[in-house]
Amino acid sequence: MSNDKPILMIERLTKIFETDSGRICLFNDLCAEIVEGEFAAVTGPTGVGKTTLVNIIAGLEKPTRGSVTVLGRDVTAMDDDSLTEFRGQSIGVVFQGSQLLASLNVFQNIELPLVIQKVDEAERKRRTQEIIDFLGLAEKPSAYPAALSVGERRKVAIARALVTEPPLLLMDEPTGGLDTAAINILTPLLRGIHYLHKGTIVMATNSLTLARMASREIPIMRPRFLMTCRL
Amino acid sequence: MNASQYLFASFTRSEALATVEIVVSTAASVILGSSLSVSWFSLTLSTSGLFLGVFLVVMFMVSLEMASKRREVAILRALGAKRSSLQQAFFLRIAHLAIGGCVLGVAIGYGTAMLTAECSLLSNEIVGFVVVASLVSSLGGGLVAARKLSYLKIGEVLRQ
Repeated sequence: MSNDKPILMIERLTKIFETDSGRICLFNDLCAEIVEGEFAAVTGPTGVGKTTLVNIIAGLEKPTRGSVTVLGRDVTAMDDDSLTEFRGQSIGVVFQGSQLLASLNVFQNIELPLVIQKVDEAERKRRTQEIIDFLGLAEKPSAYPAALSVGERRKVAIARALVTEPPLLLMDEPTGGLDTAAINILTPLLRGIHYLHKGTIVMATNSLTLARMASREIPIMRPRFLMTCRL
Repeated sequence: MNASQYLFASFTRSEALATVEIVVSTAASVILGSSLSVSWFSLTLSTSGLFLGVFLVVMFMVSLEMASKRREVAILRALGAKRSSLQQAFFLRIAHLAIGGCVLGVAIGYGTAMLTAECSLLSNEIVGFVVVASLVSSLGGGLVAARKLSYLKIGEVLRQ
């Protein structure tokens, strides 16, 4: 599947957060290159900045220094409108807390990115139904997020990220907060997604089982405290 | 994309309060304008006071509304909705409230003036002046608040 064409390039990435107790430096000039079709796992314990890294790659946060190039475009230097459009078309994101709209049902939540992209209705319905069937949500298209289990909500979030068929899929702790039964359902599903999606997947996780599924691991080092006390 | 349908499923309390403020201020200005003893100068002065209140109330209410919808706005932005389309959705919502509140306010003011037999003194110029002041203040308040969407940090909101 891989033809060594870089999809994602991270160069000398650093993010500094100001906190009450001082400055925290994440990533510390992180460099990484992920090629087309690769399944990479960003690993590290809680608090090392995995979510921040996913957000920076998706263009939802700016780094303090360094650059992130996705499909040949530097997302850290793009203007807001171009970045938003680019993200909608090229990057699918599964957020840690699923982040579904409570006022929309399963079907409407999944088709939302296609509505934003102004895909015509027939095509939109077809693609949404296809992904609903694939992820085993066929019995719940009209259910609202509040009526779903955490695992089902995560499936809806995955379906929403995949419906646009993005070349790059970002997943932030896809099994975080799930019980063992839900993890056992979701893990083979993620394997299937990698097999069928054909795109590139970057998954942030602190689960060893999930990290082993990936073809490559990008460990994130512990953050450095630049200043731990105030003078 | 019509973002309004994802953001405004129902009529909220803050929207109701903003609309009441627009209706009351517009009606009060029309009644004031129908009074024999009020000059253009005093009408302008008192109307300015009333509509400064409308501007501030609408701005505050829209800010509250946006604060309660931060998560929805962040999700839509993360999925590819442009900032301008969301700002437009908020502004259109305010426009609906402003126009509705203004029409209702003029009707109530006119009706009250009729009851006090001062309706004949109400000129088109006065009604026009009140309508313009009402719309400018409410839309202005909405616009100032809607601009705050530009500063929304999507990553931070979604992390919370």
